[in-house]
Amino acid sequence: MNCEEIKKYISDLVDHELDHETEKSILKHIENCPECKSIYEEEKLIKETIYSETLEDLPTGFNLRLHEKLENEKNNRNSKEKKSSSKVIQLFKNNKKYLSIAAIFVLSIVLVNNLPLGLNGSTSSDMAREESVESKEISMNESFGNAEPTLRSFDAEMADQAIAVEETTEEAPAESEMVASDIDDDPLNEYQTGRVIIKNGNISLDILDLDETIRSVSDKVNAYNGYISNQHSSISYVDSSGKEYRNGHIQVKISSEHFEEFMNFAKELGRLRSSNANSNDITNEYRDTVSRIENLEITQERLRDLLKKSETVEETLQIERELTRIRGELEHLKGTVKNWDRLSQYSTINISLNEVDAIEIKIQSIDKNIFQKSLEGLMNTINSIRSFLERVFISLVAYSPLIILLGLVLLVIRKILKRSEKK
Amino acid sequence: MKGVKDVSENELKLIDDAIDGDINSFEKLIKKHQKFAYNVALKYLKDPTDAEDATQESLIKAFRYLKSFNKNSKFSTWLYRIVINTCKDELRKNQKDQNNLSLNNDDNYVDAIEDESYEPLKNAENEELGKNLHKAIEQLEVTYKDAIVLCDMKDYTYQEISEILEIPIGTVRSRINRGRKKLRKIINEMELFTQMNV
Repeated sequence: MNCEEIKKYISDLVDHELDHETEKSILKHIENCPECKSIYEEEKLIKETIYSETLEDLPTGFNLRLHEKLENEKNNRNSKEKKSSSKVIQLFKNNKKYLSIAAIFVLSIVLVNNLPLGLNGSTSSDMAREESVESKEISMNESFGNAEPTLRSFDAEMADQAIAVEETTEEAPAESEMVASDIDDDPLNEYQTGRVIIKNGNISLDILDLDETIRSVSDKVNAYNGYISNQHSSISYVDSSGKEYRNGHIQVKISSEHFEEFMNFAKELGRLRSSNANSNDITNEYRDTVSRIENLEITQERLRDLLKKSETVEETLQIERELTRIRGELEHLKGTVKNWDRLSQYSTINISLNEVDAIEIKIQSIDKNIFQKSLEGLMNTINSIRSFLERVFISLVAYSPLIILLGLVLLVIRKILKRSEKK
Repeated sequence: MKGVKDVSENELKLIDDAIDGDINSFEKLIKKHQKFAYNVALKYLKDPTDAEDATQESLIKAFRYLKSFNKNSKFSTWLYRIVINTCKDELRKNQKDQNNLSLNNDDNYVDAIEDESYEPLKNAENEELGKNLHKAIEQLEVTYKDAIVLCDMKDYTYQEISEILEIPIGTVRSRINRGRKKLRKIINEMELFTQMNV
């Protein structure tokens, strides 16, 4: 290496930045080169002098002044933090305890506010149900004009046939037929076939227009000479746009022979949600009750005869007592039979109607394949997520004043804490 | 003595407390560095008052931005970086037209006097030399000053200097080279000057 290059490395040498080999070779050159040596010595001297030079002391009061400035800096920083948003983040970090308490507080407020609503909602629907149940019961207990003649004639028949009945208790079917033959006005399937059957059906439908549907039902009922025994409608809910959705309930009494026909008609009125029909064959009970009535009436006659023959007051009283008892029981049994007649003559169909936005009136059930089903499921999920998000957003907005208030309270608490810390 | 001590655990604790706002911890933390910081400032700003202001300002900055100190490097490295940058800024603000002070930070600037002609240092007395050197460094271009100060006053390795100044090692070496050359030149001129006066 020549001097040019060596000179570039002199500083490195002075600073011991060279590897051992290079250092050795350069030192060697320097020993033999006065010019390079001179530079080397000078730089070395400079470095050593500077290095060994005692540092200037800090001016007096330096630390005091520095401390003051540091305090100022700290205060500035704190006041800045109060304004900046990072303060909020710090607030969250430092006040986890308070925040959790506040969160519990807010949650409890929300729950308390929402619980009554929930209860109200359920109780109102419960009440609606109760009402409809009551109305059903009332309708059951109503006395119906059309049914009465049947019974009265029946009663009369029973009285006439009292003795005949005694002899022919086993021939219950015949007895029913006899009764049936007297009652031509109301063709009663049950009696003609010899069976007493109470039919009733329940249909639940989704429909578009409650009033229209009720009108259709009424028209059909009148056509069949039936009647509506009970009707009730209410608003089930109101959606966000103010549209009202009602539901309604009709109880139809239709003569039993038209029962199936009417059921089919009713199912077509809207989208069938559910339906059931049952027939209750009460022939045996009916017969038994009728026999009982007959027997009681015979007993009653006998007692009356006895009464005429009675001599002592005590006897009279006993007989009277017995007669009263029998009369009571007869009334009760006759009432039951009356009721059964009503029910068997007129089948009951309960129709529940629910207003909806749109329905597809399915005539036949569509066989959905898995793909369609899964699509529908997906849409349902998306819809439920959407409605959930809507609810969350609404409640967030609704409770924003509370959140703001709590935030302010927390800030105040923090200020108080800081002041106490400084003290 | 080569290099400096590593970041100790004690230092880390002080740093954390200072970040939280404890001024006393911060003062302890900078205690062993503040004298050097002041002397660096003196080399840049000459005037003791200015130097004090610059030093204190660098320390305040250190306190302010302590959060952003990457604990993987040495604290002194980070601190001196702030000190040197602050001093350079202050110098820029106070720039007066002085022949000797050049704010040329271009490392490719070629010295007007690039020739190798030199004269050996005539003054062998170290005390005298020391004073002169002090003045000489003051006069040194800002560009070279930082490297020289760190290298000769603290005996930092080139690697450490490159970390503090955030420049490549090659630049460090060239700055030291040229810095020392300039110093020699200044000293020689001063020698001549004093000699002339005498």
